Amino acid sequence: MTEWWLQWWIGLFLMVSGFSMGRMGPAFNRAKIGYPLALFGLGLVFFSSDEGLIQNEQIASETMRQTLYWAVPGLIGCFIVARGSPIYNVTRPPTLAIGWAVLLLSWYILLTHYDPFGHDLISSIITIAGLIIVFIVHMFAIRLVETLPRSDETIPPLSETEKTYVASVLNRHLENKGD
Amino acid sequence: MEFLLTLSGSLMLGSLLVLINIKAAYHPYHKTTPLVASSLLILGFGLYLSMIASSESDTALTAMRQATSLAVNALLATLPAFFALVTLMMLRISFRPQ
Repeated sequence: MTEWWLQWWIGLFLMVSGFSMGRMGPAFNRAKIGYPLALFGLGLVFFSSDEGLIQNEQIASETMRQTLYWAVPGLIGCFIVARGSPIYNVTRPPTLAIGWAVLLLSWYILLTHYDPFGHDLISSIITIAGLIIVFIVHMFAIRLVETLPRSDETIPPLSETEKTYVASVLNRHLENKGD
Repeated sequence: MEFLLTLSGSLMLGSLLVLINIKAAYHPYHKTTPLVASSLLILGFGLYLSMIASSESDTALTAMRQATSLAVNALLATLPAFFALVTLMMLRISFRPQ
């Protein structure tokens, strides 16, 4: 038995890690490597070999490939539609039309090359129930963390780099206000 | 047995997602010990269930792979429904009154 199955799992974990890293921290200081890492993971999953995969992994791998064919244009279409939709009375009809064209293409691929009703509905419901259980336990753990007494250790002052950064942000905002 | 295997897979998948998120989004003021402990507990429970549900010849690793990939597949099967909801939301934002 070959170890190529590891590529599929590593790809999945890199996707989750990359997304977590990309969403981490304040908006101005998020990990730059996050989304490229998630894309690399996606590539590993998409181009993984079926060699060494067990039965359920082969089915999941094939389903993921089929999903990507309609999900990628679907995501791009949603992004373009969101950019073209009317905001504060500003409309962008060409962008909106392009977005809907891509979105409709995605639906066409989904309905012609993918069987959305061919999967077992019960399995999906059980999986969502399992994830909800994990979520509830996670919430209880967070509540426990929040009730723990805070440590008395003194928080270190800002470093020179942080001070310069905060000063530059404040200056920039004050200058923009024209004060 | 399929029911138990899917449930165990979703428990393991959920706890693995939490563990990866804790590691990837780590920052020094984050108290991770209770979260890691609860996730490991669920992961262990899911692994135990998957070993009960899978065939006797399977090792713990194979049982885990079988169950978790079953959950991944079941989760992917829900995506068209989510996509339908997102498309409805796109319709709403595209044609909302000014």
